[in-house]
Amino acid sequence: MRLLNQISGQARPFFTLGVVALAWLVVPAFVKRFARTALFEAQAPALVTAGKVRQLQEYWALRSRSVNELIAAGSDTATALAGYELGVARLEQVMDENRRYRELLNLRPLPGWRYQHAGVMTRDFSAWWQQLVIDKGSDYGIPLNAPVVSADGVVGRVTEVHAHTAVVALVGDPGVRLSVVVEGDLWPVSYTGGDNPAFGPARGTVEYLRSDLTMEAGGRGRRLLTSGKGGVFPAGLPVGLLTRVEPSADGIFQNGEVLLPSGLSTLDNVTVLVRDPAPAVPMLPAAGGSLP
Amino acid sequence: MSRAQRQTFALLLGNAILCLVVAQANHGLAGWQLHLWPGGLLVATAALQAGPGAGTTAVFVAGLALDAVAPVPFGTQAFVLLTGHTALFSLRRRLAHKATPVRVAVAGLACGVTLLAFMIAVAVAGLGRAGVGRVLADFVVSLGVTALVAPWFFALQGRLLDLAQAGLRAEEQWLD
Repeated sequence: MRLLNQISGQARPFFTLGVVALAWLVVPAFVKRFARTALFEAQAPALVTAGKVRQLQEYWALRSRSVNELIAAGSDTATALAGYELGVARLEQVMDENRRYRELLNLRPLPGWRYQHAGVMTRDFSAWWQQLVIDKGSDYGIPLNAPVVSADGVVGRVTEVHAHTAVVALVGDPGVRLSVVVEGDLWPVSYTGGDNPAFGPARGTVEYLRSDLTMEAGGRGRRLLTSGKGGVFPAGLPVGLLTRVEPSADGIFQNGEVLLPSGLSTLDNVTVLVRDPAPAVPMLPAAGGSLP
Repeated sequence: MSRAQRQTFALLLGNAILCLVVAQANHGLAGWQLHLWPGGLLVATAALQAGPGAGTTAVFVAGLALDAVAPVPFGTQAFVLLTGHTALFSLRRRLAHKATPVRVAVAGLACGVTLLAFMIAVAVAGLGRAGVGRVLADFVVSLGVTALVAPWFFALQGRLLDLAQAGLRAEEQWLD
């Protein structure tokens, strides 16, 4: 009897675990969804506050710079700005031409985009997922699946939208798939996020490359750009570098390895592209990018 | 408020602090493509420092909080941690669980076991894929950080339980 009591006493925690597991199975999905959202929103202020504290820390670190350094930085910025102004003027001219041609050919106007800049509050790069939490959510009209970009090109897409925050799955996340093209080529191929080894830049893979596609001898690799197909990302945004190709198992196509920009893992600011119902500013093509 | 409830809230507060610290550490470690797994500490403190009900609740809620910010089905990490907690709790009376080196060793072991269990859960459910080298690197870093942080976290949880006047005295007498 004592032994039975002892065994039942030892089994009690496992019995409790079984009861909790069974109870969890019968909890309705909407209750789980509500609980998940509630727990995310409960953590969001702490994550955002920590992110703001980091920004403040950077601000005070910059305040400690000498005046000479600031003057030099201002001079560099002014030079870069002059270059950008010339680029913008040239771009406006090209856009006008493009608009006229589209009118002449009776083509639909290109969709417009609103650029919503956001700060990165948390980076969470595990072996299974790569995601960011940004400080803009439905309060700024961020829609689900919106493309997210930075100066390096594609960052990822919005996978969850909350009241004041949003979650972005990075392009290196194994669950992210994109339609891309090799620069200078029109053949769309399928890109998937990769395994992301430790202490190195994130990687991805591409499938269905043309069998006659070759790498440039001695080159760093060939640039991959978004194809514009799939309806999420505009065409011409840089994704990464195709560094290696090998024949696929069926021998008809080739598979390739993609090196993603190293800056992806240290991003502090990103831009969410929000589709604008009134087409005004078409998405700018990447420099040198081919637009299918 | 009953003693068990005070114990639960004290543990939850400690777990919330740990999750916030780990989230900030992971933010910084992202540059090296590394990730800390806090499972070992969450499981070990609750199993070694609290009663069964309070520990179970605290671990389950902490797991749900981790699930809320991760792209896995809600409850995955919660049940992994809960299973680890249950197993460890059933072994508690056989461990010198008041000695800090033992607690640190248990936290390290729990870190490895819960991470492995999570890896299996993800693989079985087909939720994603990860390179073995990457998981191993994450495990080594998590183990090192767990060993470094465990004395502080056990002390923090102990102090919070004392503040809530919900220390382990009664359960210790019952278990030992």
